[in-house]
Amino acid sequence: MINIRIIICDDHTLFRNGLASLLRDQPGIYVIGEAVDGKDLIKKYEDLNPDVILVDISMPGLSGTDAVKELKLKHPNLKALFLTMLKGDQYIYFTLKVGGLGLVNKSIERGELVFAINEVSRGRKYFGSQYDEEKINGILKKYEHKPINIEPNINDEITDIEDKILLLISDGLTSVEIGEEMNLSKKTIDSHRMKIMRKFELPNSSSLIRFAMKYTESKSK
Amino acid sequence: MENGLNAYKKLLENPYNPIYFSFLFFLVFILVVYIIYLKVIVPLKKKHENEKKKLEIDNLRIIGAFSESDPNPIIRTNIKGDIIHFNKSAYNLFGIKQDGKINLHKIFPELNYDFQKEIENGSNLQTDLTFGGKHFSVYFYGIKTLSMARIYFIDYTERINNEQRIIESEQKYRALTFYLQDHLETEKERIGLELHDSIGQNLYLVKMKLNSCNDCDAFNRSLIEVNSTLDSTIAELREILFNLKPKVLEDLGVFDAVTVLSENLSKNFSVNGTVEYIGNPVRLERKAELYLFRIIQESISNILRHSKATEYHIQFVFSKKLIKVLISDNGVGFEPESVSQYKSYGLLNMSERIKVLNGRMKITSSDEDGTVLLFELPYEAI
Repeated sequence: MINIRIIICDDHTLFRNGLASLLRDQPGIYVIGEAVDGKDLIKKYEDLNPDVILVDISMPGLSGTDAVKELKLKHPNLKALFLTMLKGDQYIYFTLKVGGLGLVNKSIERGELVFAINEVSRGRKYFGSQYDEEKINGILKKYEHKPINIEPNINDEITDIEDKILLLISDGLTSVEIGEEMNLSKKTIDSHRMKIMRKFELPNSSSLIRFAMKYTESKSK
Repeated sequence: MENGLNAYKKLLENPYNPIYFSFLFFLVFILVVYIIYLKVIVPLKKKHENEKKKLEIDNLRIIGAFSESDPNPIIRTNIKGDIIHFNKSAYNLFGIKQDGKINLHKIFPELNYDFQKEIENGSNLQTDLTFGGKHFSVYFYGIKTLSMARIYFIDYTERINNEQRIIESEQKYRALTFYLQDHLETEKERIGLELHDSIGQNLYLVKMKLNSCNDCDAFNRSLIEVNSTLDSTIAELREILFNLKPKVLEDLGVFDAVTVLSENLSKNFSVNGTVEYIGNPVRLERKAELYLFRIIQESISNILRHSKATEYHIQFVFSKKLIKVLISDNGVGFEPESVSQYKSYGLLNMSERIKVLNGRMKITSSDEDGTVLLFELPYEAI
């Protein structure tokens, strides 16, 4: 078994001490330092050069993620396992984005924590037993490609008058207001709206407004 | 030809000629008419005119008596604009001392009337004037028959002051509202921090300690129970903390915070919500993110409580210069006017927060199409 030298970084002294004493009994894991915030972590990392850092995501002053982001620039091989009391796939994505290898909840049990530390020390990702490689990639994909995009050929199917109407719809204008703006009757505007809705299979006017906003935004690029 | 001319001459020389008589008679008639006109009609006309003038002067005297006691300044000028009369109030307020010597223009350079023209036209003019810290509405009346102008000064300083007071109290009210809201947020944050730092950490510590002795057989059964109680306590704590102030808002920004909020809510309500964005998410200033989050939170809460909607969509658009947020639902809608009369504190609060961020808010609602809320916030103002 290889020896893993770790630094624990958490602003809550009691929790940090508890974690340290929990890991101290573990063969092969050596807590070589404790840091109280992001700044302290950067300093201790430079001094002690640990194999793994166990770091709280949110801390006053320099947060854990910001500290890791900064350290990563100088030490691209840094292995960080984040701790959090928050839940949500966003945090997994957030952790991966700043260059962390894992994220575990603070209510984790010792066995799992030791396992997570071992995984991370080997350069593998760990986000909990239910998150396999495929699921993690799924999260990455989901959040990386989160922005909704408009199909490129959509512009060809929109006439000039529809273009103008869509622009005004995206500004939150009603049919009457659009009519006034364009010197057309409400009836004409409504029939154009219906045409657009039919053309792009939009079931209701709420989806039409969302479509109008996407369209306008894609045009402004 | 010569005979004819002689005959005509003869005819004229004859004193009893009828043409000569009729000519003479005509002259006498003209003379009589002229004398009657001169001696009867002209004096009558003059008398009438004098009476008319006297009546007008009397009239003016009566008005003058009134104007003397009028609390507003009244000034009369001649056709050149020289002050010929003024009341006590004008004396007190403008310090006019001598009759007929000062030109109105000298005291009030702003009142550059063309006296000659306006008096002859009998014009009625109105201008605003500020003098010695007071505000006046100045009414100019040209009186042609008397070749003078009457100028009234109506003091509306009190109204201006009152308007100013209303604006000031509105600003104070707004400032107070925000002070209270900010105070509430700080207080929530403080409570959150305390819960997180004391109770939260202690819970984790207890759990950790419990787990560290899970080899001890004697504890095992009760250990499992205690463990699960702790887990649910931690979960509850997490929810309380999220409701106080979501940490994810600070860590990841408003889009992620709204996503988490919507995910949490769909667990407890049978309303299906989606959160999407267009463009590149931009982190805003802390306060702006918090306000925007609270606005969206309020909107979703309105949808869940009132709209009877089965689904809602939240769409963020991160444009070049502004962030747009569209919140739409398929509910029953409401009459925006009916709740805008300060009856709905929620909506009022939303629009106040948007105002502070220099943004705009638009609501369209109908029973067929549900409600659509659109917020726009410019980046630079944030």
